[in-house]
Amino acid sequence: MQRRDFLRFAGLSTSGLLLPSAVSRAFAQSPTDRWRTYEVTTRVEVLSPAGRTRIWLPTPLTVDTPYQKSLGSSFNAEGAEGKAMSDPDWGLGVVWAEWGEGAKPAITLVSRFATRDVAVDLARPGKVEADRAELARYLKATELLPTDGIVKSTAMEITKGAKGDVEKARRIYDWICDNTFRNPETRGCGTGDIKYMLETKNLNGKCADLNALYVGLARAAGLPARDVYGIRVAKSAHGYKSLGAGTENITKAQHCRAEVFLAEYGWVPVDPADVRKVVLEEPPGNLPPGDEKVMKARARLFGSWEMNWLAYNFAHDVALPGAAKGTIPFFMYPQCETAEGRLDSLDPDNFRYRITVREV
Amino acid sequence: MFLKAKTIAAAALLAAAVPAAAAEALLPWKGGATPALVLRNPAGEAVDLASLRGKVVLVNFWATWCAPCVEEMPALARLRARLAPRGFEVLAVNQGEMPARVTAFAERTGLDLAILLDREKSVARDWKVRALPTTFVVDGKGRIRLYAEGELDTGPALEAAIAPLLPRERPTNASR
Repeated sequence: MQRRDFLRFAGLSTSGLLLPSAVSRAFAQSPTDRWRTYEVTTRVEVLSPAGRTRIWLPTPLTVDTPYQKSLGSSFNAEGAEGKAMSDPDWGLGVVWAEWGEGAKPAITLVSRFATRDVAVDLARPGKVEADRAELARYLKATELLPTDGIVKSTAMEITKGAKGDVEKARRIYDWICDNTFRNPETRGCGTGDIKYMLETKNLNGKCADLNALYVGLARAAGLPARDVYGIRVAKSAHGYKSLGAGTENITKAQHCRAEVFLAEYGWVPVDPADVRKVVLEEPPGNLPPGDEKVMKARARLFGSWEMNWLAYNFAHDVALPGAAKGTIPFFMYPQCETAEGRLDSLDPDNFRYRITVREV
Repeated sequence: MFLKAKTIAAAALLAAAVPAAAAEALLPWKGGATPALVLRNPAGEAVDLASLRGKVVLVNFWATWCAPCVEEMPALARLRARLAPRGFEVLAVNQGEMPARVTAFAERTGLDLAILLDREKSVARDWKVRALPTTFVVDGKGRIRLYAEGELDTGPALEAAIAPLLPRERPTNASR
């Protein structure tokens, strides 16, 4: 099997692969033509292992897209047999390993990929081949994305009278952007449930997952849509301090984006969550809706993505191989289970893990 | 400099024009039977809500990264200290965080509350928790009677809502 095809098998599981740590031989050639090539290294050392310990790590998308190509991954599970699997339905790639009692679980994953900025010209509709089975997947409700009840009624209200898919998709985007400025009726942190966000109108704190809300409302309105889970890898070339990774340490730079499928354009990138991030965090912070930086981000983030970001997968309700603690709603962070329970993926210091990037 | 001052002034105007979010009062519970709650504390000891029958128990779901959670906890600790002699307990159910982080938080804040670790958030799922903080008040027979989703109003109304459920009367001042 060629190195470049590692983790890109249609529907097959692989096992027992342990590629050499001579990383330069593991990777395919980088494409040219405005593509930028990066290498991301994820290093995990479990500080408090107990009993049987399993670690799972996401890889870059295992399917190619107009904005990203995988160039291969290699990994080294210390004292264990590392394994890899992929599920192309969700662009999902997982590297994992298991250690017994008394071991010091540690694993390193090195992934190379290339990205290219993507922009859809909504003034130029075309003919797009639609894979019905794929689109059906992206209309379904999930554990955190119900599409009935208040989600459905809100989606219908937002898109009432809209002429065509593009207008529907844009109205949902605008509604989310507009409501991020509104004060919530109650102070609390959502746990990912989009019904809670809609019932409490609690959209403007950092806790509300606005891209999941976009996907839920779009699906409820009959538009296939998906979260794209990933991590920021470089500074923003548009000058936004809040929308990029400023250093090589990207341990806490995870970010989920969204795509919506429009019949005459295919998958269209959107990111209302980053519009809110500009509002909250772009210096000097707490910008009003009419601020020029906010307006420019708002215009750009419907239909385009700057690709200073790595996409991992489109998966929801993920059953990690061998997991004992149930499915996870999404897979965007290192995951670990010990005999004492699931580790907190949002706590890299105590977990412990570190993610770094370099441009190649 | 002028533009920055203008932006700050505009933001202040916006903030002043919009009322602050209200804290939540406890509401009557109509959500059905009390789910199980068996969790370990950071010392590894198992705690079962069912073993606290006879006491009123306030169950609070929280996390260290949740600002309204952390802000209301001192009031919950004070409430517990005041009402414990009358048969009252507080269980602070942490959501998914590492024991080391939760222990450090408890030591740093010195809060006297029973902290439990819901590491997979499975108890939160059983209790249908959608936001943090969420608070339930369970009576002496193990039935949920009151709840609040979001930041709790920890003023006098909180104790007033709980007091009628307590098994023991307020101690009288016998020294007069």
